[in-house]
Amino acid sequence: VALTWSLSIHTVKKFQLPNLDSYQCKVNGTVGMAVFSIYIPSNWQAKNYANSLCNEGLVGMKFSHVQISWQPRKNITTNDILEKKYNILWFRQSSLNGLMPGYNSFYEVLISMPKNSIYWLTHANKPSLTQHFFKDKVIGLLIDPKSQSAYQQPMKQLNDYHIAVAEEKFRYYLSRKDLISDFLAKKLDLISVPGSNTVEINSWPINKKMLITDKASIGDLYINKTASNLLKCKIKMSFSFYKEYVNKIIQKPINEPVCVK
Amino acid sequence: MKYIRYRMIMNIILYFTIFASILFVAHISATKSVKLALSNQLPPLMNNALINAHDEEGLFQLSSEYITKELNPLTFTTATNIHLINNVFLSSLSFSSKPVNTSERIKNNLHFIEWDYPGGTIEVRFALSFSYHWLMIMLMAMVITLFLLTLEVLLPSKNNQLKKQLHNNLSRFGYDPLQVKELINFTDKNPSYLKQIKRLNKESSLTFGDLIWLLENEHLKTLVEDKFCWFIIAINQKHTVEDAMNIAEQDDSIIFDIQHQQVIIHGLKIQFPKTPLFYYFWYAKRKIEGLDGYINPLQNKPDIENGVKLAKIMESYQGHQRAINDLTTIGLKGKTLDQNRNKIKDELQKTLGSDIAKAYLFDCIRDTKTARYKYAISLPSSAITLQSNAITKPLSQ
Repeated sequence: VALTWSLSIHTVKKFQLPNLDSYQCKVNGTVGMAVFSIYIPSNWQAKNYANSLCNEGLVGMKFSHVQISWQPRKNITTNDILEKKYNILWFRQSSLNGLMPGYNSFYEVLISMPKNSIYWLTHANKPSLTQHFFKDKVIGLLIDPKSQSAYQQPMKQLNDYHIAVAEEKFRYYLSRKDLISDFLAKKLDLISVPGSNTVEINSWPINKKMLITDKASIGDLYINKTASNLLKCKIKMSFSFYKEYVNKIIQKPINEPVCVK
Repeated sequence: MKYIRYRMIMNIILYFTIFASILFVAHISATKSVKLALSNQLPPLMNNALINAHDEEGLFQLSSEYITKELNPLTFTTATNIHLINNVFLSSLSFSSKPVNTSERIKNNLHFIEWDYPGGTIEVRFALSFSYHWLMIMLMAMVITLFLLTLEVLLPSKNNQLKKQLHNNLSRFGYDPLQVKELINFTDKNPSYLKQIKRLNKESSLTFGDLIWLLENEHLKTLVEDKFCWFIIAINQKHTVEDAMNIAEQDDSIIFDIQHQQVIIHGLKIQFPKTPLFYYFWYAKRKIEGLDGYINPLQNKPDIENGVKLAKIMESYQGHQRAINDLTTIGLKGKTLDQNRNKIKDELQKTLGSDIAKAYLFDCIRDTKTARYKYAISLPSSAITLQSNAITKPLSQ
């Protein structure tokens, strides 16, 4: 038995799984060697955007591949800025400044985004920002402390209104989808969401909503300062892809300077 | 011929068993190691990618594309560098944040990895398709089979040696090969039977069928020492094997059945000539009544008193008239006592053999006063039954 066992046991050769937080595509009819690197904070439409650059936006430019990464924001380091690792990045100005106070020597704003509103949603009528209302309420947040809409802003508001919530009343979620579906299933009393998210949230009754802020930054699009005007222009045009989505969600137009070729 | 065919079939079965177990072990170990590697690496990567992921479905789909593209085909390492599996393909891999129920899992024959993350559970299901190196598996099974067979021949185990010995012995006892084979099944487990079988074969008229009956019912285990002797004696007295077992199991006892001119010793009937039986009975009666060993009367002084008592016993059971007359007129003579004790001894030894008979014969002790021998039945009085209602009157008054 031992003989058979030892002779026939198979172990899989060590393998390394690829990172699951990025996507790469090959630029159509490429003439260059460089990789065009993008950072965005969510995988939302990431693949489609990269594909649009590969198939159209960057055709004829000197890039062989487009790589888009949506790794957690906390992974972006000062060195990433110093080394200009990303050609473009979607980031908040405050965060960039935190990483590298002189970031504007390396990156400049290409497209600035409108400010977003963030709301508390509840199941109860006429919510109020009082200790009394928040008492015994179970609050759902995202586990990512870099999240404005579902971590930083709601926490800030609770602090501003001197509302104390016991730690065990918070439920933390990895994905916003799970957060929202648990709220809709009434497992949570309160969640905070950006101005517009899904149909259910969009049409949430006004008397069950509280504004947290209407000046939340959803970040801006930054570009490597050394990029040519042509590249800047191409990216601006390609970003109309996201513009549509942003417009739909925030319901404010992106304030876009005219592209000069 | 029959044996060779049997061996052939056994070897073929051995080969296929080894073949199947090689295949099984290779499959299971490969599957397990793939599953282990995936479940070590996948959760942190996926959890990382899920942070702030607004499009979970898109992420899942992209991830499964990535993983299958990156890993296929999976290759393996083995301790011996002999590869029984060419490669394995991850034929499907999908993620879900809603685990399927267990019955569905079994039905679809998929493998599952599951882990919790803040706010939910992720389940990965995947299927593997194996491409085996069949020729190598066949060869390896062949080599292992041959190796085991060689081992069996070259290194005869203790058990085999013993079997061989048993075989030789049993053959020597005169059993034919088929009988030997049947007996080996029993002696194999309990080699101590061999000695008993040898004695039964040599000393008793036990049939082979009865021997197998004994072995099957594990009676030989209980037939130890004297019991075994009693069993042989009973068998040789033409008792059935069941009766013989009964006799063997009894305690030492003697019943005087004078009406039928016999004693029943240890459950075994032994016919006796009349006169010695009366003397035997007389000695037994003395023992029961707690009398001391009887000292032979002097040659010139026969014992009239005891002679009359013995004569009375003889009279009530139609003893020989001459013996009765001698006893009543002359008395009990030492010489006649000696003769009859010897006859008793002969009778018992004839059936029981000297060893077993001994317990039913006489103790012979030198009397300290007279310096002469006195004789008494060795058996304790509790083991003696005088099955006779005619003689109730005690011998001594």
